[in-house]
Amino acid sequence: MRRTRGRKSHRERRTILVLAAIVCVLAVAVLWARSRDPEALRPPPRPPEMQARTAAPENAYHVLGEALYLLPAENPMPKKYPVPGRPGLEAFYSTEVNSIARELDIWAPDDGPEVAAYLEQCQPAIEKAKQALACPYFLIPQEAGQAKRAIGDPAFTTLLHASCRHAWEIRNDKQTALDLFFDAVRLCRLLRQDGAANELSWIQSKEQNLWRQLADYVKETGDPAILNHALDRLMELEEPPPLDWNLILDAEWRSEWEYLERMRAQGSLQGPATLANVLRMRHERRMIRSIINKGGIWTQTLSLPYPRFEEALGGNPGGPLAAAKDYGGCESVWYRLWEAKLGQTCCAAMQRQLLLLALLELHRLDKGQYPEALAGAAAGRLEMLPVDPFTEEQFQYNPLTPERLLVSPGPKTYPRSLFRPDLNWRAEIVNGVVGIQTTPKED
Amino acid sequence: MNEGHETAQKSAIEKAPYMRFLGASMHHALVTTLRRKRTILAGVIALLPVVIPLLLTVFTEGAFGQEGNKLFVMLVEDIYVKALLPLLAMFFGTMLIGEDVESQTIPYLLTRPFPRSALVLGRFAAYMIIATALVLPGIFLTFAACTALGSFSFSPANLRLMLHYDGALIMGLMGYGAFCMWLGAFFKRPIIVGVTTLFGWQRLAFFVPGLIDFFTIEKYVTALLPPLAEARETPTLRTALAEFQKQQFLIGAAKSVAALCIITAAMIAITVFVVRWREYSQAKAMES
Amino acid sequence: MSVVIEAKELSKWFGEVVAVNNLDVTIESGVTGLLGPNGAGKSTFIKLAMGLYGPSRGTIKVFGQSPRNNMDVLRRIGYCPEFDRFPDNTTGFEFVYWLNRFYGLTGGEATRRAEEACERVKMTDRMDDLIETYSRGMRQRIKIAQALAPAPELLFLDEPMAGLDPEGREELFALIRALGEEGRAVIVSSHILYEIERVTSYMVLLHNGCILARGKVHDVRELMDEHPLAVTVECRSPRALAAHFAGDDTTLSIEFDNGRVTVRTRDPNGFFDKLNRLITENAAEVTSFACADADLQSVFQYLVR
Repeated sequence: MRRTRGRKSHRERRTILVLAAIVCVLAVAVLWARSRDPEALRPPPRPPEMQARTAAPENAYHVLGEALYLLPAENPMPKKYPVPGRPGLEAFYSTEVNSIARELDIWAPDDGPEVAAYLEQCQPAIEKAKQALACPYFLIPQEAGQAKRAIGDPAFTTLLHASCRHAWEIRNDKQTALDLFFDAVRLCRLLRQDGAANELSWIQSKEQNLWRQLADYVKETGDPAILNHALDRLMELEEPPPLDWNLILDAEWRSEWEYLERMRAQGSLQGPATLANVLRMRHERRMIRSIINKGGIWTQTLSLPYPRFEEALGGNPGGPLAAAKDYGGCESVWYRLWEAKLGQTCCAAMQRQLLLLALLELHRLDKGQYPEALAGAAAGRLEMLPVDPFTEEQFQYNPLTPERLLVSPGPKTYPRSLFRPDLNWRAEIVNGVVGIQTTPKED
Repeated sequence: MNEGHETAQKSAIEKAPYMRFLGASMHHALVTTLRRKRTILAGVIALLPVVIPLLLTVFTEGAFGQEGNKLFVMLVEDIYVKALLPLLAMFFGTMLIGEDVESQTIPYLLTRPFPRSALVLGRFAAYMIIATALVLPGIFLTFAACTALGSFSFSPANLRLMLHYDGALIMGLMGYGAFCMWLGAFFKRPIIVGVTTLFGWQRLAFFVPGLIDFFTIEKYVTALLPPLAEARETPTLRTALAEFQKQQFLIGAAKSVAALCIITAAMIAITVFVVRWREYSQAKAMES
Repeated sequence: MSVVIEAKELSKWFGEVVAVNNLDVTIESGVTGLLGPNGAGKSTFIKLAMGLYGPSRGTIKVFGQSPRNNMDVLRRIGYCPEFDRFPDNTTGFEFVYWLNRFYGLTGGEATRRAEEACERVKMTDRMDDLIETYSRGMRQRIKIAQALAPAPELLFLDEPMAGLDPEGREELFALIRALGEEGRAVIVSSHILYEIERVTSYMVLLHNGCILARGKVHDVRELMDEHPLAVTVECRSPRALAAHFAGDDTTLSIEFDNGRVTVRTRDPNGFFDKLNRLITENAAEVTSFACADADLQSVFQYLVR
């Protein structure tokens, strides 16, 4: 429409411009959405070399998998130890094989013949599981799914523990019992390599139970040959290896992902709960990823020895401790990392105390009393006395109070105490046994 | 006076070619439609479905979110085809002739030596241009936004799907638009009649057994859509059977296209007839 | 003088309402007035002639052809409707421009004619403003412009003076007369005899859809000489205004009512001349004036007897 005078109409241009602007804004939003990683929650796949290791036959996972299927299928003591109802758990986890392994921890002397018969049936599986101890590493394949629960769970450590107890208490074969005991500890250490934090804490508490068992045996045996055998095995046993935080965080991530996928497949994850879960998970995973990828203060904190680790956690209000509180307790990644560090240190403290305890018992059996100083017990056997990993000093030694012969004050704080300001927490390690005491705070 | 009469005759306008009338009608309709603020509102409504996949990418992640393919198919088939198409057609189609009737400015048009068919066709062409320009970017942006979700990408197969939907939507705009244009030319309250037929009768016709649904436009538009599009990545017997069923027992794509073309042509022809022979502004006759 | 419109036994009804009843009329080129009260059938007749309606009975031919959907006829006629309706969001220029395009004109030609038409009705300064911002008189002018723009041979003006101020009326009167002198046929409808008198000497009187009279204006006017015209003027000082007319011989009566003065006069021409003079000399601050149809009705009752 040509005009010779007057202003030209722009009203139709306004509509076109407004609509074009809206389209541009949406296009930018679309480009932004496309640039986001849709799989941000999904854990990254393992590096190729790690995948190769996982698939390799020297991965202890495969050996333990074969051992699992060598276990007998039937529960020999169904009436006495019925399989408790576990609604909601997947079938494989509640198989009778696994429940029996747990139920063997409930020990009754009159079950001796049935237990012996059952352990006899389990012998091929136990021998196969021992072969896994020769494997250099244990890595659960990412696609293992539910099978990993049975293998990762300390079912075999429980069987070995039961065999150890049966050998010590029923058959009076203490040498064999000690061998089985240390096989169980080594199996715990092997299983810990995969790093999944949920299983990690379970395995660590299993190892602590084993050390508690050994503490009882060391105290009651009175046989120098057995004590020497235990001492030799203790001196052979390496310290718990340092935790691989990257592995733990990845495994933690994977575990959480699988949990949510399982819930989603069951239809348990729906509606606002789904959104809340996904948002929480997404937020935590981003933090995990930043821990892994960015390093810096996070990685430095994780690599500190326990005492300084605890100080680092408590010293900076804006640091990991605050993050733990922000995420609400046990669900926090930091909480679980802290527990893993604590469990690791507890096992180290218990192992070191038992080493010293064996020496002290041998000294007592030889000389009739405990030495005045720890160095007296270690002379000729140890070049260096092991220190308390919680204080990085020598264990407290109380020769006049045998029930508190060796004491470690334990951690200054306990992760759970973070969320109970009304209680005093005290976690001591005494004679190779962890004891947690809580007392109400006085107003 | 005779000389003056000859002067008057000489200044009379000569007959113009038909295409000039068609172009004038289309140009005028484009300009007037673009000036309306309602056009912006229609554009916003046509672009609203894009927001849904964008929100889902923010609030969900990967495997815990919607699959892009399913979402795209749902948005196009349930929102664009079933709701937005008839809405836009009513929005614009009824205004093509109806606005002049309602505002009583139609005598200006009808007292011009303007072929009625050129008037109707030109306005219909303008409607198709504007409606298509509003809908197609929406479809494309929805498609692009859905690719931000899992299991959907800019692959040739997916782009073909989008183009398939584009074609179906254009055919739907054509059929619905022609129908609504006739409503605007014929009825005093075209919106009410449009809502009743497009959202009432069409819904009812699909529930009543028999061939009644052949008297809907939605049937033919739906027949143009790919069957089980959300499952096309994994062709199964179910998908093949659905396609066969559509071809043999319902209505195939070729017949649907033909039906929509016939509906469009018929509605345009009826509108031309109505505009030619209807006596508008009867209400004013009493006052004069 | 050629015949432009020929109606034979033309009737049009809408349901039970008969708008035009058995009209036989021939209209030639030049200016013809269509006079009648509201409801007389003037607009209906015009619409029949424009082809907007089809006759219920009888025939009507424009330029020897039926006008209904006849593009050849429509190309030669222009129409300024009575109703005050315009498209939204349109300037005066655009309104005229697009209606020119609907005549089949090219863009340039349509622009040129639109500008000329706006200039002719003195709307050049406001033609780029939205019609919604126009006064009633401006809207009337722009309606006339769109009718004039295609330079039609036959022009229908339905109540063209409505809403115009006295100055505007005078300009329009001059324009209509000029169009007649150009050789165009102009049909002007009004319910005010005075307005018809100013533009033409030939008129057709309609009442209830029938022709009551046709012919020279002054012949019809003579019939009305015995019947005065009542004009109601609203102004700031009604009594001061009335004083100017009180002494006239042709003034029959003066009445006051709420800021208005109604003057009944036997000489409308003289009355309006004097009123115009008073307004232009600022001797009277007139806000509006109207002719009472009641007096005109009495004229038709006389003619109907």
